[in-house]
Amino acid sequence: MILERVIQTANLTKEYGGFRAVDRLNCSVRSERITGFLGRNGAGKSSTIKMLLGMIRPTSGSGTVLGLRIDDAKESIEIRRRVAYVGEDKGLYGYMTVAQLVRFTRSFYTDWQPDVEKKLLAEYRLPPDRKVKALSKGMRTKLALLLALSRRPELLILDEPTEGLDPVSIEELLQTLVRAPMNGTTVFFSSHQLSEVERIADDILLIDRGVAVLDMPLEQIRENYRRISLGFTTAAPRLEALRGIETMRSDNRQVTILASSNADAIAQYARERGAVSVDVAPISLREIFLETVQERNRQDQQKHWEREDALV
Amino acid sequence: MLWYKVWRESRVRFFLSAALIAGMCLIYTLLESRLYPGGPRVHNYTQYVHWTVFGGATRGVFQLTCLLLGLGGLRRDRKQGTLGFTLALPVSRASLVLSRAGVGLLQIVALSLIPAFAVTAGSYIVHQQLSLAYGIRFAPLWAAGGVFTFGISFLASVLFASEYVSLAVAYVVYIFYLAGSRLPRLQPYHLHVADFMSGLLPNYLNRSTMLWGPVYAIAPIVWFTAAALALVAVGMLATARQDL
Repeated sequence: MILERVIQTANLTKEYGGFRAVDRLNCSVRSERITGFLGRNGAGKSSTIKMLLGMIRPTSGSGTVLGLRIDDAKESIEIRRRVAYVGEDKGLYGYMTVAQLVRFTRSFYTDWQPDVEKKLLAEYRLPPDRKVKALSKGMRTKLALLLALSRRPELLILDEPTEGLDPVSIEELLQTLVRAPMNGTTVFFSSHQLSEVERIADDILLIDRGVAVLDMPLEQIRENYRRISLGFTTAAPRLEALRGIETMRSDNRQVTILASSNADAIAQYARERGAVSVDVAPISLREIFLETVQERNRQDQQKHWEREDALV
Repeated sequence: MLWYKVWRESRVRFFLSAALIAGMCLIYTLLESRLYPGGPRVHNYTQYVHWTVFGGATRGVFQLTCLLLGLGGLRRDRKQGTLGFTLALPVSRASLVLSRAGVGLLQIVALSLIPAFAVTAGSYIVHQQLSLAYGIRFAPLWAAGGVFTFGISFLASVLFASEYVSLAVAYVVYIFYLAGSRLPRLQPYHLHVADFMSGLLPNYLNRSTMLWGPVYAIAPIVWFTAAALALVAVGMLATARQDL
């Protein structure tokens, strides 16, 4: 049976001391698709991934990966058996040779595919007798990918896979990821390279301060998200927060709106309120990311000032 | 294969320890004519071997190597950036801990056997009489005392992030433990692991001849091994709860 959602979380929370790294995260990842997992540094991406893999325990909330509970020790081992993970640091045992590390990793998986291993060894031009510590970062990433893909995992989780890679290696990696769903593998990867995410992702999950702020297919984002720039002859009137308005910035006679849907109705409403120029334009993922994150920053700062004012 | 990983990570320490212990045993036996102190404490060759190897400096070095062998594990993985890879393997944390403890135990058993063979060989070369059976009887004592010492640094390596801190804490705890076990109130319980390893706890060796008596140290072997296993078990529980 193929699960429709390979990852599902409900109010997943992780606290380190008093710091809440992941804050009641609700999200889901669809099977046999590529999901880009976005967020600033410290947004909670790595903590989320570690919880999904059972490396750290959630403080509260729950989650499943491939239908298995992440907070159950036994099911967590089964998750790791069926999921391949390539970590941010691509840390592999430097004292082993490539061949030794492949042999070591292979011993943990009954579904290891020697033909895929052989093919990838040749494709990535990895020298079997070279110590892992003597490999370049690009080669280490390729080796980590080889170890992950030689099993045809049901889910491939990658944390910043392209970091530190040269453009050719990035291209090869992206091609590999694009092909993965054809073999039945769901890809869930975090990245700061929004242009790469935009190129290969089917779905986008954006988190900020541990909270999911965008969880949507990229196609839907492209179709629905619009930047609406409004010009008024006098100071802009106060506009209602209509459905679809994600952020709204007002600068005297100019108003800029980020709309996640309902763009036409918002434009029409603005005209009715006296806007003399209305420009509705598509918006890139990068702009959505920046707008969303910066707006949350502004809101938090506003709340902080209000609290300080109240104290004074 | 987890055992292979642990072996690869600890084999340099193990081989250095083995070479050091074997070297000390051979130096003490081969240079016996120069190093023999004579005097009231050492009357014969057996006493000399006990004074230098089984109850002396070589035993002290063995205990230090056991402390060193206890270091490593997931904290080291974290320092070397391989923690993500290790924790992503489809094994429980208990398996990771047990493999480390298992390999450590086997290494200590192997090290504990070295003096018996090295001393017998060295004695033969310098035409001294010391049977293999004499040395072999120390091996279980060294192994049990060694795994107990190993257990202390093993637990420290689980609890402290830095290996230097782990080693320092383990060493200090060990020294305080030795000093504490010499307190008059605790002396009847024969807790001193170094004395136990030397065969002197309470009197398995005849102190005047340093030859084995009729009673062997079965009970202390069991107790020190049980204490070592308890330390490993605590380390395992702590590892299972850690956010690494």
